[in-house]
Amino acid sequence: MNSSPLLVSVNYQYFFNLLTWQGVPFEQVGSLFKSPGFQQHNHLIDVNKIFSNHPRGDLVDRLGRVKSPVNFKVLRPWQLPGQDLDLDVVFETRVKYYVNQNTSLDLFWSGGADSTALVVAFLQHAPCLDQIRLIYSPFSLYENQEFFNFVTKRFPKLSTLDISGDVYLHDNFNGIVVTGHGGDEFTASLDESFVEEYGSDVLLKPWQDFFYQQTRDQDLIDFCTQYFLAAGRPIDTVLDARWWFYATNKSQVFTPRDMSFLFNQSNVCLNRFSAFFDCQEFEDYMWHHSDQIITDVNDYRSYKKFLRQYIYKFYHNENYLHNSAKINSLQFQFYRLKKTELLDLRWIGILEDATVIRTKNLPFLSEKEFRAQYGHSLDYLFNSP
Amino acid sequence: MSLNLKYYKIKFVKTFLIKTNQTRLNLLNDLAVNATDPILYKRRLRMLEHLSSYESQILEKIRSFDTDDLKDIAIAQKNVFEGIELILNRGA
Repeated sequence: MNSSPLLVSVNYQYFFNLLTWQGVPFEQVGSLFKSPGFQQHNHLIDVNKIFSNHPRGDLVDRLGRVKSPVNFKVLRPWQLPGQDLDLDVVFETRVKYYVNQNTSLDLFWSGGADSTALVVAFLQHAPCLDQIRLIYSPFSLYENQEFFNFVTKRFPKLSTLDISGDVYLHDNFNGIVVTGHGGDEFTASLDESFVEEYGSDVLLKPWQDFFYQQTRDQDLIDFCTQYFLAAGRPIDTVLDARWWFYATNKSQVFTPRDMSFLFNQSNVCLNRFSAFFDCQEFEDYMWHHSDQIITDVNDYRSYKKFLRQYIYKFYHNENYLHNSAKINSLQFQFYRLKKTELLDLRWIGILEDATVIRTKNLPFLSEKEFRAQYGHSLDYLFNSP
Repeated sequence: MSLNLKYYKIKFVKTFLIKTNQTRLNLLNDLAVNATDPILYKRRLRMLEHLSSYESQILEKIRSFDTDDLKDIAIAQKNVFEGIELILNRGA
């Protein structure tokens, strides 16, 4: 492990204070920031702002080209895709990876398409169901009660756990927690608000026109033209650009942050909390099949339909296949945030060796308290322009 | 002349307690209204427990909060009130 471990996630609620004390000038953009002298980093923030009214979630350039004011570790650097595998083979490979870890697997099922697809993948390909536990809440059932009934009836020996009540606060998740993270980021993270605001037609427009319309910044277009070349395939439309941006800059952000759900347990490390879709195989699949992200831009229900088709082959529910549409499922976020407050697990940053930067008095943070604990030992995490 | 930060800390404690007391009263009313629904009753009761443990946790932290900067208190106040909203959130 690096003797000076880098950041994998920061909590901007507190991290902005560190920037100020470090003398890093910044302008807040959503939950992120621009900083003078880091022009390319600021361009990426601009792109994020084009795609989202309130950008949040660290921006980590997996291409390693853009210098940021803070030093993030790229956990899985971008690489050009290999062969074009069938989706079922992709998921089977992923399940094999987890099964071979020889530990218990907690599958976090929210009821949405991503987590349902991962549950289906495990039920189809895991050799032994004893290794698996299905974690759900009443809100998962609200989203897809029928699927739960189907699974518990067909696999009566499958272990399940409802984490509502106080269970999420105190239950131990000793093996690997597997979540549906990455299912959005590698499929352009296309929330309905974007389509509602700009209309569905915008997705097929040339990205240059749309970016210029939003920012009037030719430098940004020039930067993106170069940056998008690294995709190794044409990036023509707004949808292409969105896919590329979220895959390369936003795909690492949510898993390390959500690992804070396990902070009350001992020996937490990064691979104890794992994003099912954040892997080379699924990334490659989307590179080859980005046309499947949304098959009909005028019908939002066709967003990620390929995942529902995959589920359908196992679950055979016509209604689910044709009529369900993506909605942002925030239940895990609420559980995580509540747990953080109630068990006093607040944090400022997480390093690649799973060290948590925190002071014992959070949510109260003063330079006096911070320096008493860390002095200037974390200065290496910040860059000058 | 330096600021009397203790004054602002006392003011913060007062604002915080007024806020938690109002929240507690609202929850109590909610508890009474939903007394015949066993699930809602249980959830509201749990929220009351959580609110009390949050309140005592925060009071302890205010007591040991060491700062020379008034701005720190303003930021803390915002974070603490957001925390109340979070633990009362019924989304999960």
